[in-house]
Amino acid sequence: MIGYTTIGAKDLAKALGFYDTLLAEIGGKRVMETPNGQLYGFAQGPLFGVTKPYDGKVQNCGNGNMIALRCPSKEKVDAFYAKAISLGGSDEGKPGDRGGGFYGAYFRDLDGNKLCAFTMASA
Amino acid sequence: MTERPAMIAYTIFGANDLEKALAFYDRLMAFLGGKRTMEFGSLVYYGFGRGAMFAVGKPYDKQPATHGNGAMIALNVGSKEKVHAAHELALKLGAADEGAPGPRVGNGFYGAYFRDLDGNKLCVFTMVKDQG
Repeated sequence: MIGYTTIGAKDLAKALGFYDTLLAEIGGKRVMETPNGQLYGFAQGPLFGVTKPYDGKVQNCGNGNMIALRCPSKEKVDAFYAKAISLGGSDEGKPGDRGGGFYGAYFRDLDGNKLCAFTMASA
Repeated sequence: MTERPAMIAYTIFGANDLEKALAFYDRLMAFLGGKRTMEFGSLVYYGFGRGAMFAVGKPYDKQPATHGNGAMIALNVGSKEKVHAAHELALKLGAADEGAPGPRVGNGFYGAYFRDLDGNKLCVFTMVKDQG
């Protein structure tokens, strides 16, 4: 199973400021410091890591990469997305139905890493 | 609707040659007990029966897939033997070595690192009490 994920940050302090506030919105909090960054944990599932690149070179978010966070409700998706944008994240798709009961929103963090917040709505 | 706590539900890595990437991940994930669970457009999801799903697909914006730097997905594979075997299998399937199996950090973390055919970085690891 997936144990954890990491995304890269150019300015780690800024990135952690962003994620401290953002992930708290859905119950995520710091659980472990790593040599180059920080792991956040939720009530369940993989840990979410934010780190400086291991090779010491410039961070890059890659294209085609994304981490999707399931939220408890549409309201939480909306609030989480709004929080991300207010913290300096950039819009990649406003909250809405994407078909099949999938209600999601997309944004990029301060370093361009793409995230999705979604919930599966019944009817 | 039952409210479940938030969690990472899936991750996506980009691929340029999807067919090649899927052949790679079909083998690797099968070895780790994963299998294809869903497909949406070019996105193929692998599930492990619990936890988050791992997806591979072409980028949404139709531009070439590029791997990140600092971005990694780490798979907990359950044992040191499995760490060695998964790393070995990945390299056999064409992955590039990014770190041989061994203890890291000093907290019982035992892992190995490699990059898939598109340069995406993965880690296979287990937590062991005695690293002897």
